[in-house]
Amino acid sequence: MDKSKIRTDLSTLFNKVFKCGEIEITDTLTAADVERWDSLSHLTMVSEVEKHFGIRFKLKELTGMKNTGELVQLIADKTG
Amino acid sequence: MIQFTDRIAEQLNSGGEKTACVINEVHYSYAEFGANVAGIQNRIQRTGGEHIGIITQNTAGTYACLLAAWLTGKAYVPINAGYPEGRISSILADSGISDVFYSTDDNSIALLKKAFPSIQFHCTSELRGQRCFNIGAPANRTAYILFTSGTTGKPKGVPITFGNIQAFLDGFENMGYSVGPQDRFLQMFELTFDLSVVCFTVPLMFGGSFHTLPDGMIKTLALYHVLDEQKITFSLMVPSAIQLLMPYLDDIELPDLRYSQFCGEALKLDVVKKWAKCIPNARIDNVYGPTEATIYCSCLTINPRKAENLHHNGIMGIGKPMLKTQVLISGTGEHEESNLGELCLTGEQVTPGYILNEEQNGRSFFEHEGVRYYRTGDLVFQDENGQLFYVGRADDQVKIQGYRVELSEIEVATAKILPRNQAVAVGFQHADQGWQLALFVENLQTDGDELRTKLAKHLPDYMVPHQVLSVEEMPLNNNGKTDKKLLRQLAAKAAEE
Repeated sequence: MDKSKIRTDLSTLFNKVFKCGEIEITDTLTAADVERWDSLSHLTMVSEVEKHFGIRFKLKELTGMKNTGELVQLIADKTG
Repeated sequence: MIQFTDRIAEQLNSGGEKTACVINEVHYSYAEFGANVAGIQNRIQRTGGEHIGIITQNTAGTYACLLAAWLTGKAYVPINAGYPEGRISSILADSGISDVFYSTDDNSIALLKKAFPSIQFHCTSELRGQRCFNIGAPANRTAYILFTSGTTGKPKGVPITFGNIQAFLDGFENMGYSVGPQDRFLQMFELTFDLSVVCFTVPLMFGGSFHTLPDGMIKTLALYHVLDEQKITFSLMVPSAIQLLMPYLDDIELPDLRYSQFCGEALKLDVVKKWAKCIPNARIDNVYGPTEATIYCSCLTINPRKAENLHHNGIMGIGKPMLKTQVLISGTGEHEESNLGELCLTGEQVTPGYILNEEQNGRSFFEHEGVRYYRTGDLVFQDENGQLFYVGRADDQVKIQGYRVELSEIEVATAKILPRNQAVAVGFQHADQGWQLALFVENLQTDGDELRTKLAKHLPDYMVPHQVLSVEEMPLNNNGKTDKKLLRQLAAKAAEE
């Protein structure tokens, strides 16, 4: 899937989970930048991403993920 | 006889290049960690007062400071720099602290120095000494003071003595664990939470190591990362920590884990069964106890194949009292289930009493046949084999990620912001995210998030309600009291949407 489309969809999902408004999904965006982004909301977001894109992450993929750029790349790899 | 400080001092002085702790994925040897402890001891000796404040930072220096306090015969009071200023002020005043130690300068330290100009702040990062010494504190001297949620809106100070800790450790050593220098302990708790004490004290007594979660990672993922990568052999966790990992349990295999303890919240049978598959070589223990009875004081060892016999309504039992604890179940016969009553504790692990709070001491402690007991507020029953089963609370306290929360403390904080609106806080169980807090406010005119932000200035993070909901009028039940059952249902429904 095209990365710009992934970013647009993520912006909507992030707003739904983190209630942060429509934010720009940059590659360097991390939990430290979004107020309601904690353990609970992170795993809720992951679950929403899995449902929306029809993919499944491995736990080690999640622990290795450093920022939103890596999330976008993982989604792109998995959706082909 | 207090032995644990002697054993820790001996390990610090003789451990050499063995790893004492791994903090933020950096290894610290006993030699370098011990040198920091010794240096801090020299500084602490030059300060007055029985109690010192320690800013809880995820650094080796913070742990070195806790140990230095003990070995110098002082009590530590952990202070989370992120707490609201009013709360820190109350903790400092109630504990009579004039010296606060920290290990890394950052913005929060600068703010504290500005807010509390009469306090002497000491940075410990550069302090080094030759050799640790142990003053040998008497059993009745305070070793730490923790502050828990109080119903009046003011946190309660719980002093725990060196004798209380020794009694806990005697009980721990009687539980049949075979712990040694090869063991790597998980330390996932904030230092204001007393479960942290066992996680660093026990490994250092045996020449093992403790391992904290790295900063900057999502906590649940950091937990798995450390368990897996650092090959943890002994873990103490709150059940909600693995609750969030449930969808990924098929990915988890931790063959190095030998002991998996749970504490701080009700442990569910289905969680135990699933977790057991991830840890094929571990013994699973459900341990229980309030801060007032020093870390934990009862234990149930769970054989996953026989776990079906050791639960009540899907919640695992809390086992039998540890070596230095005795129990009394008070008020049986007053409840629908005749054997249900309030769990009361006595023995060498029980605190001498809240500091500067005689009123609360009068409510929480009582004498029965010449023995002093602490009322836990937990409703339990005991089966014919002496196993205890937790059923619920006798009051409005809830546990959020293991932290005790008195709901009235949230209501008192709300009244400071919105004095004209009636507010009621409830705890409710989210379908798959454990216990959460909701605050209902009559005719709330402002945005819920705005109120949450204001509440965060009065309350620690874990006490800020997950949801704020407006109601026209508080619903009443048939007895004319606020219908909290309905509010809990409304909160759970709103959380699902």
